Amino acid sequence: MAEADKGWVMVRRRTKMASSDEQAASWRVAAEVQPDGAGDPQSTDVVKNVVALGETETIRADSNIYCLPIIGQIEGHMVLPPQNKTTKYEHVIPQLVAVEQNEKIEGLLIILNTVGGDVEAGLAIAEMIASLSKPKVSLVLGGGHSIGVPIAVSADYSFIAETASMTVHPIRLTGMVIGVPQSFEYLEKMQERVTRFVVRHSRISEQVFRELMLNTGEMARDIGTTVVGRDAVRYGLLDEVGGVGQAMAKLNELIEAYRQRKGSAGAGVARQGQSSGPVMSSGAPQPVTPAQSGGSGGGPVMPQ
Amino acid sequence: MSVLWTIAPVEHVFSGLTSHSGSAQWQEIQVEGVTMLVSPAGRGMGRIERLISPNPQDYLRPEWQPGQLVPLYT
Repeated sequence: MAEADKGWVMVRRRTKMASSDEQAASWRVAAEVQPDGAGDPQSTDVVKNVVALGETETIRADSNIYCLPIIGQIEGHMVLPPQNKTTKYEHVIPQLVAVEQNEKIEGLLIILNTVGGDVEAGLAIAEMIASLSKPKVSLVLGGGHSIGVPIAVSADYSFIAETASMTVHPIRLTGMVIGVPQSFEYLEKMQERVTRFVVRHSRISEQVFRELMLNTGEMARDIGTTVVGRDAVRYGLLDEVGGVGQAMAKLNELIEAYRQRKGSAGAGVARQGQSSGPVMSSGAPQPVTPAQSGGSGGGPVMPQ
Repeated sequence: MSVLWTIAPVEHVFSGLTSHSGSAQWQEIQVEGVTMLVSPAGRGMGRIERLISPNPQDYLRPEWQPGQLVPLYT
């Protein structure tokens, strides 16, 4: 059966590119394959489709939700070595433009599992997401570190899996900077851009974010804090602990609200108050400051 | 000019910059408007290594599962 299945794919590909002569030949191939698949009613249907139409569009269902995975390293100007798993700027940005422009798309789901990467590419993606007029929900699975933090908070509502973690640490000089003549002030400015973005798009205060970032004693090779699941919500960085089920439910809820707003208020009013952080944070707990969360040794020690 | 902000160590990020590993051969193609990374499989075909699509339904298409063959040029 597996052999026969492979046959379909080959047949399909061939019919797509074939001239009419070759097409006829590939139909014969399909006809020959048919007896093998005769026991399976579905695969005989596929053969009929191939023979009749030269095409098998049996499961083409279009989704009204676009899913944007941000995985591995975020790649900007510099092409990273090929064995790195990267999310490329030139893949992501056109997708986001398409989301905004395509009328069939009603919502965006961003799934993050990233170790960080290029600051400016990351900020560009985050700004693109934040400025989309359609509902968007982010979900951090595994990890959303460094430049992943602003991307995670850029959505209307953000989820983090209970086991997922986010590392908040400073942008630093340790061999990470390539071809930048300015040093300390330049990094300060860069850091400022990120911090301001995160503070503007989440419930965390600038002071708490800085405290997390400058915490010594948690990471072996760096200063900073790794915030896990629930703590990300406690600090006000993200909105809720959850998985794909909750994220989709929330997105559908936001889409419904967006439709109603668009239907009743008409165009133009829909984007009021967009920059004032998460749209719906009513049920979320108040953020705690690291000092409140107790513990010893100075800086933010994780609450249970 | 490019600043990296990542928890991945620099040596990890830049390892393999000069050597040629297997995945260096991957080619980015478009099939029906969907981007995919393929490794050459001969006879003008490529083997799918990674699908890059924002439409979740695309990942369910049996002919686009990793390891399947697609024509490199259409």
